[in-house]
Amino acid sequence: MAPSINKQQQLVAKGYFTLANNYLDVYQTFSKKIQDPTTPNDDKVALYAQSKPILQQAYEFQRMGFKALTVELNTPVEELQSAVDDAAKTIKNIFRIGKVIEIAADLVGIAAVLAVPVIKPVTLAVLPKLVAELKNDVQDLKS
Amino acid sequence: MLLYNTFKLSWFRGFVITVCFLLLAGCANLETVRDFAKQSASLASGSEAIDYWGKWGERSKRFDVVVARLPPHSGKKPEGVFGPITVPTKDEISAIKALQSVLSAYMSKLGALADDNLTDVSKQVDGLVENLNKLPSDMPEEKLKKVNTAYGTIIKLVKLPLEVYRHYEVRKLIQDNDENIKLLTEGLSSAIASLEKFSEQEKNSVLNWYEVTTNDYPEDKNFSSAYQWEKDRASIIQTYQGKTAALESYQQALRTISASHHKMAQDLGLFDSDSFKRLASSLVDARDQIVSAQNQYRKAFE
Repeated sequence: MAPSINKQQQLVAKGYFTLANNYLDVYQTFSKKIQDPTTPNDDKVALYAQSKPILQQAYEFQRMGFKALTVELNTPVEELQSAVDDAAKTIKNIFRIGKVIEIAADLVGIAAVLAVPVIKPVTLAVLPKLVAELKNDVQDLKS
Repeated sequence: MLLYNTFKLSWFRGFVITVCFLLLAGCANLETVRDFAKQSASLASGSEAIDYWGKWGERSKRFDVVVARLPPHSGKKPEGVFGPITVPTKDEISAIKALQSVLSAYMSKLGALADDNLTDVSKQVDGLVENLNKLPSDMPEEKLKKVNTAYGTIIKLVKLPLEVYRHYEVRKLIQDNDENIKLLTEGLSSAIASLEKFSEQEKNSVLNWYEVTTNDYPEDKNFSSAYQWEKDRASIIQTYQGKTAALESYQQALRTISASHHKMAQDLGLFDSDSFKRLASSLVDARDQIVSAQNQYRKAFE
């Protein structure tokens, strides 16, 4: 199933991140100069003041990039979510087959207690435990 | 009659063995797919980098201690570290995290479906056989046990078509969603790559501030203040230690997830042993890379 993505939006998100990265590269060249011990103090102060809007702008472009990314990935995310739901159903169905066998085992276990020619109170004592197991397994199957 | 029965039994047994062999030959062990998917799910669930990015303003307050120590200059206290004026809203942060969580949920379900224990009905059948043996019967005990074990073996055959069905579903899940996984992982990877750059430049921003502020507000020039200056600087660098490298590994791991998923989409249909062995070996490598990126990431952002 090919996702229907607005290619222009995809370019917008990538474009914003590229812009942010370019601004951060420029900021790095300012930083090198500021942290260089040979740069005069007055220049450092001036460069520091000039560098602030560059970093702010990079941050803004990143925000816009994230915003565009969430819009452009909306369709793939919805499709993946639906695939996740379907996979959960498949897993549940496979699990149910095992549960059906467990329930059959529980029933045979109860029958084994009740079908003996002479029922003794001692053997009957295990019944509540067996019925509880059956109840749990049926509950698991229903859930 | 006895000969006929024996022939019928051996023919049936032969048929069952052949069917089992054919079915199992088509069902490669998916544990490498399961391990790769589970580790990918775990990696994708880590959204600390997004929180970290959104809280730069809060983080800059860590340096208030240094600001407080600097003496006022011409009656003015030094400014704090420059942080972004606007911050992402809660909804924006949640929308970004949702991209990661859907990737994590997908990988987690793929891992569960690829888990070979999912179709293992043997334990349940053993319980059934055990209870069957307890039922009263006219048959001699030894014979009864043999018959019940035979029933159990037949019921265990349920596992085989289930296994084929599960392999079909794993393959379908991967092939149907390959394009979406590619878009999602590549989009997230570009975003994390940009955060990686941002983390490095945040360190520079703090160091720039420290450089300019300590020049504007010099402490007394003595040994102890020089020592304090170096100590503060080292502590600032320490704060950012490992974060850039961890984000680099994280975004590379996302690209590995995309490439490995694509490889599975192409090769998982080929269950001949050679191609599956190659695929399994590349998935083991991918899993190791993802685990290492995850450890690095957790250490850096814990």
